[in-house]
Amino acid sequence: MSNHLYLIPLLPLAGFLINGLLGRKLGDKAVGFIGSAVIGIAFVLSVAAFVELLGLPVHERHIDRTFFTWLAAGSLEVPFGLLLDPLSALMILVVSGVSFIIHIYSIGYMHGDPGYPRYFSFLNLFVFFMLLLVLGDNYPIMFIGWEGVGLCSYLLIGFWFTDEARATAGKKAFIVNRVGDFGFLIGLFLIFATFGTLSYAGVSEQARYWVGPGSVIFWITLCMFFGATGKSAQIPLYVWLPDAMAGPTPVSALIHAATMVTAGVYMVARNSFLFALAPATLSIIAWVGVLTAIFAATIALVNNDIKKVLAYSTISQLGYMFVGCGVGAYAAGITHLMTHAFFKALLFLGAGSVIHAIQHAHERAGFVGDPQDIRYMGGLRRKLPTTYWTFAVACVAIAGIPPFSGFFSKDEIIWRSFAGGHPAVGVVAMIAAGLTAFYMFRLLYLTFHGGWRGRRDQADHLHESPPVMTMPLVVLGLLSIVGGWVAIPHVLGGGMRLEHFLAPSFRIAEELSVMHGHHSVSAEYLVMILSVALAVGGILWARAWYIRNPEAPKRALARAKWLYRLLLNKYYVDEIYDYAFVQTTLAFGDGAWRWFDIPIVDGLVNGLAKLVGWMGMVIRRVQTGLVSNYALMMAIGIILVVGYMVWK
Amino acid sequence: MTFNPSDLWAVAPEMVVLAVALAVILIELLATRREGVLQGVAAVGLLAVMAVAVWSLGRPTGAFNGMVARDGLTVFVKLLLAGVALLAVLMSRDYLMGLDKSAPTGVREEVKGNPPLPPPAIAGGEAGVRHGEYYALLLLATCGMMVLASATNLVTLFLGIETMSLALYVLAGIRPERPRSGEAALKYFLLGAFSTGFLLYGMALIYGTTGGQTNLSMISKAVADLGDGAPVMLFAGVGLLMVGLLFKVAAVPFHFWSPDVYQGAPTPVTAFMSVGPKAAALMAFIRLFGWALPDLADVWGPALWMVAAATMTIGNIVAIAQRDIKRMLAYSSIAHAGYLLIGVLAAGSPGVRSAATASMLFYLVAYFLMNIGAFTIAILVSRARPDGDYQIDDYQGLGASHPYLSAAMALFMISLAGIPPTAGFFGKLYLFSAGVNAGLVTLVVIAVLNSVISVYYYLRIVVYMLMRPQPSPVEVRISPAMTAVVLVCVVGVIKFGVLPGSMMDWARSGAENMAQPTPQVVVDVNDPSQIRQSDR
Amino acid sequence: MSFTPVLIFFLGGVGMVFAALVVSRLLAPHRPNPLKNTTYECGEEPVGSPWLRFNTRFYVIVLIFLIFDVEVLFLFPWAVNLRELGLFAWVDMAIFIAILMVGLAYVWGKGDLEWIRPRGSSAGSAKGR
Repeated sequence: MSNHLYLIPLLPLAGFLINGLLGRKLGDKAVGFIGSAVIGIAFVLSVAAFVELLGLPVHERHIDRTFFTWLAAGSLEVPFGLLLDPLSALMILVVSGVSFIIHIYSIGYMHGDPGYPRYFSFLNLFVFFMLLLVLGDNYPIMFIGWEGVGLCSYLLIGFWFTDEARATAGKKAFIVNRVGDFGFLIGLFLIFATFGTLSYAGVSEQARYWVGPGSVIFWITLCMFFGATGKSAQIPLYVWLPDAMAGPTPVSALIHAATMVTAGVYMVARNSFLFALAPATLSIIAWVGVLTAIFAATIALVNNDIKKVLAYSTISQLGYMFVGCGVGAYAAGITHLMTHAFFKALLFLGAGSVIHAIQHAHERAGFVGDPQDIRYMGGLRRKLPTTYWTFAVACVAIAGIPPFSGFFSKDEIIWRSFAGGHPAVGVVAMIAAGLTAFYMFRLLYLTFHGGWRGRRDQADHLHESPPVMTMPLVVLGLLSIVGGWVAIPHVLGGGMRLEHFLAPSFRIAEELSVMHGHHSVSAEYLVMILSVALAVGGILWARAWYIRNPEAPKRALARAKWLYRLLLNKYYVDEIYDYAFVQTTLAFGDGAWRWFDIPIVDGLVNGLAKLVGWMGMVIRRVQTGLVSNYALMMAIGIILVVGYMVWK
Repeated sequence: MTFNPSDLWAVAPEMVVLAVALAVILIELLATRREGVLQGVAAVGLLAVMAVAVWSLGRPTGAFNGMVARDGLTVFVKLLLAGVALLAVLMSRDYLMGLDKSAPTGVREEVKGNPPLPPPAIAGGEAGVRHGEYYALLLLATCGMMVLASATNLVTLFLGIETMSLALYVLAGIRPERPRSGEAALKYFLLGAFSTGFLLYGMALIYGTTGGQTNLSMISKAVADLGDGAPVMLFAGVGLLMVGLLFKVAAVPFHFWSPDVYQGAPTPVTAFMSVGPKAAALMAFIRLFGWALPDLADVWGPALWMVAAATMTIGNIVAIAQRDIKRMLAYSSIAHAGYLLIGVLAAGSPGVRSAATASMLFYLVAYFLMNIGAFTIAILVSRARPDGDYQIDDYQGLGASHPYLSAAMALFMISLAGIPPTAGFFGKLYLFSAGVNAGLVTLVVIAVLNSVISVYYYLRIVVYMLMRPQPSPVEVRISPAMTAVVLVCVVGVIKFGVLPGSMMDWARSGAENMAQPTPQVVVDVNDPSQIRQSDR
Repeated sequence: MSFTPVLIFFLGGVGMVFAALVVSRLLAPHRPNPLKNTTYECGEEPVGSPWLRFNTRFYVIVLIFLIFDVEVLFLFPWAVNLRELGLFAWVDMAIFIAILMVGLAYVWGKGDLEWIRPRGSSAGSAKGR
């Protein structure tokens, strides 16, 4: 398989071309089939590649294949090479697997949408870029994938572009991401200037024996991390992700929960050899991660939009992954990336199923309203049983209750923060874990328990989604339960099999790493018990407020009204950004346009254009059309040329 | 003189082209209902030429006692030339058939500067064009270009130039009922003959000052032996030779023929002429100046530098003022010749020679695709008009009525302007970076500024197509052959604009696989024929 | 040194021209009339519009003459040396002549060698349309 590794990204590209060019002629059925089939085959191939890698001895699990030279200019040579190592093998499995499930789900969810072929072609294109991003063996390929997924994200957030708000949301995501990409690009320039190469192999080899100043590495890694905060929605660039929920829900599940937003985490993990040389950047990453985790969790506590709660939850969980990377536990971060992909995709798809049902009921009842507001839901447990049970599984998983998948990955991150010498980070992460349990179960209870709070006439129209949508839920539900079992820690009798599998990808970082934390079994037990207790506490608290005593939250909120308002308005960050950056930039731009562009630039450009045009008219006169004139001009030219050469 | 049968491989593509040309002539003579057959034979023949060219690739060496080279560079260029001819053949039939149908024998055109003439008496007395003659001349011109591109001796160089030029003179005037076509042919012929005179004079001076050498490697050796004592006559000879070749690539100030000829010649011929002779003559430039005369680079370098700067600047500036798309493309092709001369200059500095040659090859491939594509669409649009004119105004609003065609045209224009992600961008990138590596920073800056100017007139077409309303509805009909040509060009422009690596690898291996200057075969005293010749 | 014969040749040539003119002047009778004083132009009327059209048939004949004249120019040295040059040269020249023959057959078959040919119609092989 490794010889034909290029097929894995190529298949979705083929799907994109077929659906994009011929989609309208093929009909929706064929489009859905082709779109899903190419991803399905890519998944099978990924499994084959994974199995092939497993069959190799541990130290040989690094297959770097160059297929052709992509471009070469001067000393810069970029081969089109793909790298299959444990990290990328796991990533292609997660990306193609989750994508496949979500493509299947989309067949049902997008049924009847006029943009059906466009939707599937964009989704295929996204998977192509994402696979390119994780498979590339050098930075330019990663960057192309990075930009490509951003583009697809923009196209899909604004998929229903006739809606002004949705189109604006797409634009916001794109612009905020560009800010981050700028940092990433500067990081790449610095890498090329420092190491003179842009391949992972070349850079890691030099990083291994790096004796130069640490400040260069610090700036490189900081720039790259800034890029990651854009793509992976971390402070300060997280603001686009909640708005990105304007896209179709399967898109939110795939791009804005399971895959694209984790690209930043993948990038940090892929460059562990650089980040290991910059402990200062690592500390920044850990702190940014944990602050984002708790910051987003608090906002999620009060939000009433089912998808926005999930979006803030995603931001929060991405924070955990960065904490993992920041404390040097790259494998733990990647493990959380994988389990999160399962349960967060499941949550989004479940939410999609709910929205689908309510939207349908709205239409039947002739009612126009927001189908995503949890204040007008409730009691859906009986109407949508499959959705309910799978959603509940995902909630337990994300809350971190053993033996569901979220527990193993999240607990490992928290424990490694303590063990790696960041106890404060660990404490904050634990508190955020408790909040996570609370807001997820608040969401679950408000949506599925109690009585229906919408209009009476709608309740009769609520139906479970078709099997093409519920089957993916069940599959993801199973994965959310068992997905963490490959990462059971030693103290619980497990083998940390995933961490051992991933270890070769982080070998150089491990070698370079200066911190080797103390391992105390009892402390690990203590952390584990504490975090589970916090999670259970969060769940019970949510139960007490939203099932037992629905009046309690209102009373509590009345007492702390300012806090509630602060959280509900998301700390006013959007407003602050708007004032600090957008308005200032607009004012500056307006001034520059008025006082600089019009008189100077425009004048200069227009004047130059006129001058050139005038010269063209004048020189054209020489072209008389008469052969004798031409011959004379030629003769003059010959005299000039030969004369110069002879009498120089 | 000894004959080595394997030398025939060096000219195998030329022999096949010649055979196909003869076959085409005989078919025209003997067969009835032959238009499709003629095109088919010519096209298949050119495919065979390409196959033979690939087959003939071998260890770089000279052939026929150093008359021609047999190396990767020639194979690459021969493939390119056969490709140009193939696309020209594919787009010709529709054009010729269109002439046969509308046969505007009665339509008169005013020719600037001349009084109106009575309808000319034609030897054949026939309206329209004999297809067989047309294809045969196209193939013979290709044959000449191939000889020119592989020549390593002044005699073969001249032979190639003349074979190519004579065929092109006739092709330019192959529409006898159209005075502008005849005018183009006459201008081309007169000025071409003028320049050939200088070319020959230059060759004679070089022959005289290097002690009777015509072989390029021997000339190179003789120049090296002369050192600082090189006579002024040698410089004059090199200058005149350069002038003769500059005429063929239409460099300023030897470009005056090209806009008139490009406008007057049948459009497929124009498309062919804008790429083929340039490619062939530039290869001769590379062999002559980059390979044989780098020692004199400080003599020819500054002159060529000035010519290159003037060529790109004047080409671009005058192109802005054009209202006829064929004339605009003619000036644009002058400008592109200016860019390509950067490659010749860069090839003069030995360290950069292969890189510069490779970048020129890549640029030629890119230019070939985008230029042929643009000319094809120009033919299609012009044929949709009742008067068959080539005004830029005709492109107004084409985007709404013919979205695919307009998209293709926009792609070619963007590529000609050198905007990524197209082949034109990477062509410029490679060429200019070779120029910078050779220390031609000022010239490259001039070239970049010129690229900016060129954006104006290329994008004007795009703007016309997309943003102007259509004055009157037009119906563009596209035949399968034309579709094939446009598709090949579109795919090529995108392919080499997104993934230029493979083509650049080929170009680089072609440039590095160049036959190096070798001492000429020593006269063999045991060979009776040679003794006899030296006795006589 | 080696140019001395050239100089002598040159002086001799100029001298001969002058000698001829002088001798002619001395010996010939001198009775001019207007017709005699006009420019000689191969029998054509030397006075009138310069935009006059020559019959293109002359060019055809000249071209054909030129082609075969040059052919003979190549054939002569070849024929002299054929014995030494051998089979290869023979094949070479056969190809050369064959190519010329194709051209000749073409113009012949197309009727381009016909001296009298009505305008607008195609003589010889008719076009298949």
